[in-house]
Amino acid sequence: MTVGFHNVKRAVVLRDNWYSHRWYDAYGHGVVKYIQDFATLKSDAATGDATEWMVTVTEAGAGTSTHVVTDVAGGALLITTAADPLDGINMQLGAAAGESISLGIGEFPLYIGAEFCISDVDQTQFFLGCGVTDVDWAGGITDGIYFRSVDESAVLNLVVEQDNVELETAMATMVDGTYIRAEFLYDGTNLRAYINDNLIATIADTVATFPNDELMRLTVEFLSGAAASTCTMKWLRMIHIYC
Amino acid sequence: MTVELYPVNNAIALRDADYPHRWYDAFGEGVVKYLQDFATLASDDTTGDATEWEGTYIDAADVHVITDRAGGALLFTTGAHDNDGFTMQLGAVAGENILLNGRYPLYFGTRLAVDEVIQCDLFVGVAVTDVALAAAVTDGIYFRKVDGGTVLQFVVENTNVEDIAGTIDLVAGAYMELEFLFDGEDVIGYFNGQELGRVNKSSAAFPDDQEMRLSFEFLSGAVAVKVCTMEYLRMIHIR
Repeated sequence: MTVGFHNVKRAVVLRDNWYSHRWYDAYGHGVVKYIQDFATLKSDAATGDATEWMVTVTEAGAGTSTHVVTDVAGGALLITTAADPLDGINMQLGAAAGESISLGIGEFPLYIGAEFCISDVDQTQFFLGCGVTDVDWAGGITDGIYFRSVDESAVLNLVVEQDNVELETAMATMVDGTYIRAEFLYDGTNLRAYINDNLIATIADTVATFPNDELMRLTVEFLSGAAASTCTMKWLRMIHIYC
Repeated sequence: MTVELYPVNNAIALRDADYPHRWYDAFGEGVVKYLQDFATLASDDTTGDATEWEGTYIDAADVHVITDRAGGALLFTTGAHDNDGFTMQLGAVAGENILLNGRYPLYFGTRLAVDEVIQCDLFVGVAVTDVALAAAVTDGIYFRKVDGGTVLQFVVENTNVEDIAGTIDLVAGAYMELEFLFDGEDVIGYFNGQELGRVNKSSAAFPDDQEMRLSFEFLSGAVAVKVCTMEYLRMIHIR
């Protein structure tokens, strides 16, 4: 069997038997999740915006910043920025509010993972993970656990941040147009981050930068650094067991 | 294991091992379900209204929106007039997909809190299409609390014949887990995991001849804003 059941708290997780950090789904008490293979995406008929997300669009330059399901075997979401630096899209799961992830007062596991590629890895900014409500992650957030690649760099970093104090760990050097799988799993004690199935970093939740006193939410932000750019995301999953 | 697989008709349900009446999901032939942990909710870009529900909103100030809460939650806030609030039925103008005319199991469950228990109306469960649920429906299985009282009733109703199978006093601000399971023979209501009452399908009050749908109503009972916070909502029916 390539997918197995794994008991976590009062829930059961379906995880990969080969890559046990990879969670596919969970059922039971306290499970909160968002699981997308992008066969489709609930979207507003008039605006085209994803209706399960708070979407902030920046498009000062030529063209438009869009997010729409596209033609890719297995499904994908295509995020396209307009042409000016910092044009792009910030997406936070929920509405104006919607922080559902709590890593404090208990040991509440959290898995976040995605597979994506970026057309120009050093002329864009990319953020993926969980953090507090903020529509400008490139400008800095206060609390979160997320993957980050900033403009003028192809390096994807893991950031563990509390109260504006960051612990940053280099995870990988991305390549234009090449898919990369970025995942992290907090098991209630340690945060382990993976790139393309390989464990890259292990961080204990005892570090001062571990965000244990703020509610957070699933977030994706993709911005141009120079010209119109694209990010193609094949899947995105957040599974949190809060009980 | 705290969640177990349980064969039901030609499907399989995932249910709680400690509370077997509590179903988390189901897969297989004839499964119809709505499962919400309120990490998010598909909502209209302009109005903010939930797009998978037929909603009747009395006042412009009636708002239902995802809120900040560990584990996710949907926040209902009424306008400030008596009977302001929400009637929401899953689907569109039509959408009755539950029919209990045989051994077709149905699980319903939610966890919610209301900020004040006396001055509000609360109705949650399954019912025929109706835009004034707490006032009266003809057929349904539901939990109901009417304005002016604190008593929550577990009601099984067919053609306006009600069987109030159980009651309990509510507490303001306290989260309560409301569930019922029709196992093909009895429908059993639960409050915070404990049985509240049961009705056999042979009862005259058992709604076995009408299609129904997942339904929710929350209304203010005074000239004041009232709030209901819902942590999860699940309906699983196996035809």
